[in-house]
Amino acid sequence: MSYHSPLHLLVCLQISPDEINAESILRLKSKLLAEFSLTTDITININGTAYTKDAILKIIDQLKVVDDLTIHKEIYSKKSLLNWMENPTQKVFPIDLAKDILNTNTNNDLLQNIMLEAFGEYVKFNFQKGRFRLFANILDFIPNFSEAHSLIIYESLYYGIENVINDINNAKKLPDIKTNKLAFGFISEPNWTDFLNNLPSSFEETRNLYCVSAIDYIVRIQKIDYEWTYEISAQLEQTLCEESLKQVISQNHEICARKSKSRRESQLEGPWIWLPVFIFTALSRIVSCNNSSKPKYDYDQRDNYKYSVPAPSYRQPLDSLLH
Amino acid sequence: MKTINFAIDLGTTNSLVAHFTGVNVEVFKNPIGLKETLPSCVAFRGDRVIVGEKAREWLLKDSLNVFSSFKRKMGTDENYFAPSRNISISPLELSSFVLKELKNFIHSGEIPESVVITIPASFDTVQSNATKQSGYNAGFKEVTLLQEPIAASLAFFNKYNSTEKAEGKWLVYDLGGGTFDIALVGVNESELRVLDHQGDNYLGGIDFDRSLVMNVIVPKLMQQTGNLQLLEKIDTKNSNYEKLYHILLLKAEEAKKELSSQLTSEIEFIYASEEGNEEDIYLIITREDLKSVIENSIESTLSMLEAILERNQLSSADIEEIIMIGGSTYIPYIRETISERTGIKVNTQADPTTAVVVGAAYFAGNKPLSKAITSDTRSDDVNRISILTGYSASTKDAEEYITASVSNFKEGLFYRILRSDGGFDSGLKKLNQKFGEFVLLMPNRVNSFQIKIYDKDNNPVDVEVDIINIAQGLFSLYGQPLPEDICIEVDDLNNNSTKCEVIFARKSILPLSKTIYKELSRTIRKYSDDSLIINLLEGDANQYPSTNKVIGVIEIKADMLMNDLVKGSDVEIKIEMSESRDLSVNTHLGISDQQFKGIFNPTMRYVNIAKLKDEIQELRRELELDLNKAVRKEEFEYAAEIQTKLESANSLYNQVRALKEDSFTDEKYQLDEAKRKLARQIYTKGSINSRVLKIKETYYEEIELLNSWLFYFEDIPEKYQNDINKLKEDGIQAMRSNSYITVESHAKKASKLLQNIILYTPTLLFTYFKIFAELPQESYTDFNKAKKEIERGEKAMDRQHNDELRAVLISLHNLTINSEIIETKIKGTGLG
Repeated sequence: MSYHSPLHLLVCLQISPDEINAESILRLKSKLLAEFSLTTDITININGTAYTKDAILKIIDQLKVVDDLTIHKEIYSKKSLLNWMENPTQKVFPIDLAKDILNTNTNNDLLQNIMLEAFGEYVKFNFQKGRFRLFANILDFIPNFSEAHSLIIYESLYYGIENVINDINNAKKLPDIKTNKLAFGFISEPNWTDFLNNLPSSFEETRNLYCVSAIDYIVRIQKIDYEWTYEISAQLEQTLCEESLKQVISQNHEICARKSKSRRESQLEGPWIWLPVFIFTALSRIVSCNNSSKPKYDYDQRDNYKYSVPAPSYRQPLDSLLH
Repeated sequence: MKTINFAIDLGTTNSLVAHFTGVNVEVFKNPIGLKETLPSCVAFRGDRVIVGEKAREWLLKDSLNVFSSFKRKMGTDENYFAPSRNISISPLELSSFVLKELKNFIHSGEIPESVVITIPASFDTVQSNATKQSGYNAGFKEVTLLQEPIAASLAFFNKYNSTEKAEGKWLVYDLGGGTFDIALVGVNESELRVLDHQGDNYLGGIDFDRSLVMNVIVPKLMQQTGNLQLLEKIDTKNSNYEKLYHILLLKAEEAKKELSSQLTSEIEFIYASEEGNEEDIYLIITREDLKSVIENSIESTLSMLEAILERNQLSSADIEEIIMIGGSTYIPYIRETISERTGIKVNTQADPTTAVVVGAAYFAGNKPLSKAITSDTRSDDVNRISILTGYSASTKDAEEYITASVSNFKEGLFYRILRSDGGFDSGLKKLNQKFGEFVLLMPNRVNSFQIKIYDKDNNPVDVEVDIINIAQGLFSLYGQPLPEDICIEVDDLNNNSTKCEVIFARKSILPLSKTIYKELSRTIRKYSDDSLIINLLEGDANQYPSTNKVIGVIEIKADMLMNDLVKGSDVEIKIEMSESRDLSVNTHLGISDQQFKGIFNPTMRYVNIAKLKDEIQELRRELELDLNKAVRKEEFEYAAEIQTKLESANSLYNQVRALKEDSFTDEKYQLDEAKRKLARQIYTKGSINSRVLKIKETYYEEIELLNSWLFYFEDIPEKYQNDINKLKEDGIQAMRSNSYITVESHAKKASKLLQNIILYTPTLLFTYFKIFAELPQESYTDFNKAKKEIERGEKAMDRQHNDELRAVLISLHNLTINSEIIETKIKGTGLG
């Protein structure tokens, strides 16, 4: 839930936050609670805002803590920051103000929590909407949080990418380009690639997994939508990933680019050559490990790769062999 | 402001009614016998319905037609059968009889239309609704529910003046006839707040009575009579000993009460054998006997007490006293044990029997009547100026704010507020449509105020306004806290599961209102058999949805839609909960601009069969995983335990599958209850962090496997041997973290390494190929293909062509039924 400044209530009642003290809070509480005796409605309306009794009591409790009141006042004085904190999905993120307030109140838990709440919602919302142009700022801002709080934001990004991978994997089974573009059309845009590349090293494996899914997806759609295949392929080429995957992507993209060019020149549909990534990632290592040439397997059989260790039932007999 | 003033303690064993007089509370007495308590007991004797003491006496004569302790069955579909009338009667209806009977206690001639009825804190919304409905059935037009420990706290604290009990925290230990509640109460700056509470609906005096019968009296009786089958037969319906059982229950209750003041109690009754031989029995019950049957229950109340302290990060030293409430707290053993074990002083000054009803009456004295009730008493002159006032009718403060709203307002008038003793006069002030004033109060008495209206010439104007009475020196409550989280079930795509999301957090002050915005987690096509489920639950939001209770469901079926609901589109849900926990839900689907409304005050549960199936499926999956793990670790005892639970889950699943969607039997409620019980047994670990935990478990299993491989297989390539060591080294730090990213990333490295080692260690490659080659036919999606691959693999083995064997192994792996993720994918709610 987004932040809602307790000072709004005071402003509505034309009380200056500076006038707040133990006695005035008590009077304010009596005054507001009396209003609930006058109505059978769940909420009372104060200058267009509906408040429940619970909300009023919580605001009163917030106002009672003098240290917190200072933070609320500081936020309230920075209008654009306040607006963003209260509507993080609808407002422009005032990054400088946010950095400034966090850096001047480094150890204030209340502020960290309020900021985390708003920022988390902002990040999640923009990820869902595929607004990756905003993520340069987002990634730049995360280190302003404490380590624990940064992790929470990274986790939401991690989940977001995982969902994209899941969507791509599902789409692979029966591609519907129109719907797929609506769901994850951003993967052919440079902003997405920049976002992936700028993630910290702990995202390495996730980035690799994304590449595997994206490669498999364009293998499936290469004959359905040439343009999109080329666009995704171009972005994949820019994506940081494991060396073996990089090789596959580069080789294939090179041919893809050549074919695309010749297609544009001849306006004829040429055969496309994107091959699925060797399904067991391990296989891609055959090359590096054995230093031999590419294996001659029928890779087309394998397009349902999942990162999974052999199921326990396969392990059981092996365990019995061991013990 | 007119207030409710009347209150009823609808107890499991006894019920009471009281009235707030403005200063004090009067507990009404039964005109017959002049007792304050009415046994919550109903008897059907021919055409007559008898309630109370007489009904209780009738139990000994015709136990089949007498019903008691039905409070504990409120909100369930369990009905009682009265053979004398050949009717089935619900706990709700039986409660209505008790409530109606209590009306006869009110000697003042008033006929209350509104009443506060108390409920245990642990009553869920369905049970609360059933209680409220019983009030309506008894003829009350307005019923407000109040949680018992809150009522008891008000009664206790209002006994003291403003300087006593002015600051601190107390525990209210309420052990009644059928239920137990414990509440943490704080007093700060003259404000009384219930900070936390919890309870058990099935722990009370009647359980002690039964235990005394079954564990003490019957064994002694068996010894005396030589009837060794008695224990098996005595509590069986329609057995020869059914009457004896009820007699013994009454005797046990009497003995229990007597043992509060005496060291021993003698009970006498006539025992009739199956052959009809009668024998006079005389038994002695000691305090030790009673202790032996109640100590486990007291232990569990202590656990709840400790849990509440722990949850609120408090120690015994932070608590002033434990206030003992409820008839069962008369038992000396309970008082002593609680005091000794907690080290906190026990306060027994509140009357355990009447505290709840007295507190409820204080609450009723400060609770305004609803508009519907007050409008009945208003004058018919529609043009007359009328003033409605709002204030707290009882307070510990030295001043109180009175707010007022004027109907038929006219300009040019003035108001004045006067205290009846002349000690306060607001002076003449301009009248506005809304006005308010802080008024000074005389301490420890009722302060009466009058609002007078004058015209510009200072002539009094006739207005309709009630006298304002404010009792200074009494605590008031701003409201009662929500006993459990109210949450909505949403899909948790990351865990292929659903989870709870809090709407109203426990301890929030009722009534509550909130609008939330969600997105659809999947596309719901019009005309499909899909549906969007708005499922509201009550319980712990950190727990799995299946462990919580459903309190309201809106199922929007695809055929009700104007168009397809696209994944990601907005759903606006407005949820309101009244003070008595009526729930109203308004759902707006942005994409189709459709509204769906539901008002939930079910007195019995609603169960969606498809959802129930999903939930049981999830339980089965959890159990299967745990079972595999236990077998692998050779924890056979634990495995057997899981196996039993799995069998229960499988049996439940089959029963649910056999249910028809339009079935009108109550089987689905029973199955839902059985599922919740099972879920609570399974998810005892506490809060959900399943994903990290599961990953960690898998990781450690893989490391264990890798370690043993390092030990047994010398042909693991050196590169991978180093990788294992590096993985283990980095793993210490990574697994300490509770971050998904860190844990999962590291676990993925382990999985990848494990796969590579299988593929590049000849011994393992051969072994795994053999394992796959020997898998039964049904393990493969296409066995013919698999057979060809196996043949290819055998040839590759002969030729020692490891590259090809690797390809075969991968191929076989992909041909195995490895799609359980898709197959067991739960349907979910549709809300993301």
